[in-house]
Amino acid sequence: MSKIVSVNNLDKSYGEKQVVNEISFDIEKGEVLCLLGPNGAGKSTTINILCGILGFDAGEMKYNGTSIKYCLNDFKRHLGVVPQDLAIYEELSAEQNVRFFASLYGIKGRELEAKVTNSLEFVGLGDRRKDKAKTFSGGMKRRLNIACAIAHEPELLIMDEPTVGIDPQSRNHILNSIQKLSQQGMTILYTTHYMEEVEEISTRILIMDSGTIIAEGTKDSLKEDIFDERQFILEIEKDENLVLDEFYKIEGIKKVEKKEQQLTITTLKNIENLDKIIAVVITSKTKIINLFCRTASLENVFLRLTGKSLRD
Amino acid sequence: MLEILINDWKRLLEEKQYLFVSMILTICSIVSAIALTNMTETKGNLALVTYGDVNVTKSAKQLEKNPYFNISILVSPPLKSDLVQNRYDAIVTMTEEGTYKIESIKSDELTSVIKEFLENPLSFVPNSDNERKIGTNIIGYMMMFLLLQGVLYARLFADDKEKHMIERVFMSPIAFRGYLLGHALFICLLIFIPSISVIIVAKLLGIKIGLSLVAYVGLIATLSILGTAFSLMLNSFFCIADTANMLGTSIILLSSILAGSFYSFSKDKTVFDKLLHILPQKDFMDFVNALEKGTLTSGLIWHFIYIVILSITFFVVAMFKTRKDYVYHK
Repeated sequence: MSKIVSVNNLDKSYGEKQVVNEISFDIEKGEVLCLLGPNGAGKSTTINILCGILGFDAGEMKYNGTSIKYCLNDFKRHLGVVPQDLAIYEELSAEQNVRFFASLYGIKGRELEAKVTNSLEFVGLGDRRKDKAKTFSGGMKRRLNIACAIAHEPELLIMDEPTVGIDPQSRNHILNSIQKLSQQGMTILYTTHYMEEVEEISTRILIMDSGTIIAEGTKDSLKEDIFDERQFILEIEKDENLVLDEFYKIEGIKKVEKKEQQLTITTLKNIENLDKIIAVVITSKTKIINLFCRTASLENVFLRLTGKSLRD
Repeated sequence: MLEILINDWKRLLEEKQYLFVSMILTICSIVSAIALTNMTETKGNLALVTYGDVNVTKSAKQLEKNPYFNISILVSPPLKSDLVQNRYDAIVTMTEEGTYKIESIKSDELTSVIKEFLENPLSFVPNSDNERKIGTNIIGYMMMFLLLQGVLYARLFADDKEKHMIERVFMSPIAFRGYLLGHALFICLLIFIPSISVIIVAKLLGIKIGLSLVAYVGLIATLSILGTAFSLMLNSFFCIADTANMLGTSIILLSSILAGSFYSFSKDKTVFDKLLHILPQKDFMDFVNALEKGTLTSGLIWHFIYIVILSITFFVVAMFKTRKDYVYHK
């Protein structure tokens, strides 16, 4: 994949306070890159720098290999932004809103009308295009916010928490739309506080904390890298003869817990010992009803890395 | 720039009440100016003491018909306290020989005006050299409302800031100058077009408007530019629309009244008068007054240039402040 945007050693301070500290990352063409971090991690500052409305103190940002200093307007022409705060004119209709924002990109005439129609249809507001934004629900306003950002068909779409405070239907609609846009080849940089959204749409994840990038990778690789253990959960019956100490004789076993009919065994990740665990169970004439393997969630990864919950 | 202008217009059309209110205020200011300028000003209340003499009373009755003084014919002199209580401005005692004795606690200026009137009551016309003419009054009455309209329409720019629309706009490739000039042109046109239209209609209806239409175009355009630049500058410093709106309204109301938009408070050559010239409205009123009376001097032209320079300064400050706050800079 080719890089659309490259960020190298970017620094940004507000007075004495360093908000972004020498961060470096690339945005690859066609990916859905999720930027995660607790409040105050420097995400919004990074997003504002990427959007071209905030300068930086040191470092470099390149668009298609050219320093942003020399191609800011070209970059902006190919950039779409869905801001965190709703930025739509409540007193105007949906189509007037989209038409205005698309016209800022120099689109005119029939092309403009076609793009307005397409983007409104895409976010599911085609039948409400004449209605004023102030009559819309929170979810519809969020979708209109997205329509305004995609009407000019940007190469890179930056979405800053686009699903905050909306109903599940609108949220699903937005997430489906993001997947569709990604399939159409649009590159997306996405920030959110909802880990399940990241699980659903991300192709790569950046985790920020205190102005630096502390982890980077796919959701699977992050889980693999951060956690060196896994858990087997066994649902059992007729366990009168089962002796838990027997499990500790198996290589890699770290912890064994039994609660009613459920046996939880924590083991090192890279050791193949499931057959031995099952053998111990069967030897004690215990019946296995069900067995599944639990791996770490992104929430666990985040918590381990930052020491904070994402919603803190 | 055009996109911003068109969008501003669409936004304003959704809040038509602003347009109606400003149009009505403009019409009211012009009507008031015309009505008040043409209204004959009463110079004072006189007590005319005749002591019951038939001939004196007869000639006193003749004086009663004049439009400039309210005359009360009395048989005996009123109490001196009536002068203190302002019931009368002067007590005039007439004799059969046609002589007058004027008693007043007011200025000598008033005594001489009364004297002038009594000596030649039929052809008496008060000296109006120091009074404003109709064109100056129309501009004076309109001035405050036109400047207030600037603050009113700059609300669209203020809303852009308050609701973070401006950030979204600047994420697009639109030029910064185009954005601010779009707002400026919109505000300016919206102040100018309705006001000049009302003046043109007044002219077509045959109402005396004092100055020529060309002069009105220039003067109203100057006020529109001043109002636009001032309100944009003010809004560039505040992120809450209501704060800028209330402050701007207060500044314009106070400064317009002090500058003599409706009535001139200052006397020439006083320190207060010189201080008031800091206010562009004061310089503007002096310029318009001289323009209408045909007494323009180079000093007054400099007053006009001061207003233009001030407008440019306001606009430049607005540009720098907004640019500093919202445009990418490394």
